[in-house]
Amino acid sequence: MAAVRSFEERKAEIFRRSEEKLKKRRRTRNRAFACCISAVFCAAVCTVILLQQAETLPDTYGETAETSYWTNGNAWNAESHSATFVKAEVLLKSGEGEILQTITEPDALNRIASLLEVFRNGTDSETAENESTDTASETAPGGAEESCILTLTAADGSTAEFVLQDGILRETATGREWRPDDEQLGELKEALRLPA
Amino acid sequence: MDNGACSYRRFLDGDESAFDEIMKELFDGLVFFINRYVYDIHTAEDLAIDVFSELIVHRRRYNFRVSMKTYLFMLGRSRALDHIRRRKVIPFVELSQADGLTDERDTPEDAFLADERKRSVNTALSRLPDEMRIAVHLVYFEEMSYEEAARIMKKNRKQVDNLLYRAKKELRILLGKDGEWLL
Repeated sequence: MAAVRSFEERKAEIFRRSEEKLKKRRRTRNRAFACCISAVFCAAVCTVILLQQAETLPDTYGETAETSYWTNGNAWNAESHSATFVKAEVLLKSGEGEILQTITEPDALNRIASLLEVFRNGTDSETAENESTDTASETAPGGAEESCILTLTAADGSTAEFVLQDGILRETATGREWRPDDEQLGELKEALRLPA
Repeated sequence: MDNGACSYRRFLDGDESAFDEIMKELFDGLVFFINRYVYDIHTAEDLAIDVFSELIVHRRRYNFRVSMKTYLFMLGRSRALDHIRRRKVIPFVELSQADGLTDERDTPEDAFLADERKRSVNTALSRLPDEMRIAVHLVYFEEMSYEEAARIMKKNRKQVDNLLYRAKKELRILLGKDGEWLL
């Protein structure tokens, strides 16, 4: 059986163990410090990357899917005529019934986009009921009203809807209205493949 | 008597020899106390060394509100209980066998138990329940106050008082007339 330690042996063992514990504590503290530094560095890098990405994203903050593409400069690039719309559906309602046609050709879509951009850059019209009726009416000879619903679909599936009735173009989501002149109206109808 | 607090202050101020004084004064008593829990003198010594190394590693933990002896015994009790918990089985050595296991060098117990009376009381003490035994050891062997013993055992003074009262009753039975000096 091992003998008990002498005084000097005990003292040496006490100081040896305390040195070990102090070294272990220092190592743990350094490791924790290194982890903290790494975590802070990673957080800083991620923040910078996210901020950079946020700056390049289109400014759609606060807008819903129904918000007009008119206000989305990036989606509506009239200058380069590169419409982000992939489809335009034109529903013509008249006394004779309804006719639906779908336009998917890029050139046709670009043309529609350009025309709508022209209206966008102009001023909104007053509400139609306060206007005089000197513009050409779309009322068919039989008395039934004719209207056209234009639905534009973008690549991500979102849509924008416009209604052309009584010579007034109205955006459904925002309620904004435009009154194109005769020439613009003719061009729009031609682009939408509507009867003149 | 400040039981080492003064020496510890000097040690904190840089006097390494003050630590020797604390060791000489309190180490053996601590080993003997821990042995009450673990029943193995070498384990008790090992745990006592751990306790003293705590004094060096965590120098500012001792706040001088209790005596150094009380503080060390509190740490010792905690270490002993941890050791028992980890070990799970307390090796029990028959007293008759234990008598034959001593070696030539005096153990701390030998120094404490030089007195024949103390030896017989010690034998009887080992038969008491743990907490009674510890209370008797602290108050009668270590000459601590009831308050100090209560602090070490994490009890209140009244509880220590009860433990000692019951311990004395048991010792009367175990020791008979020989134990009267203690009681």
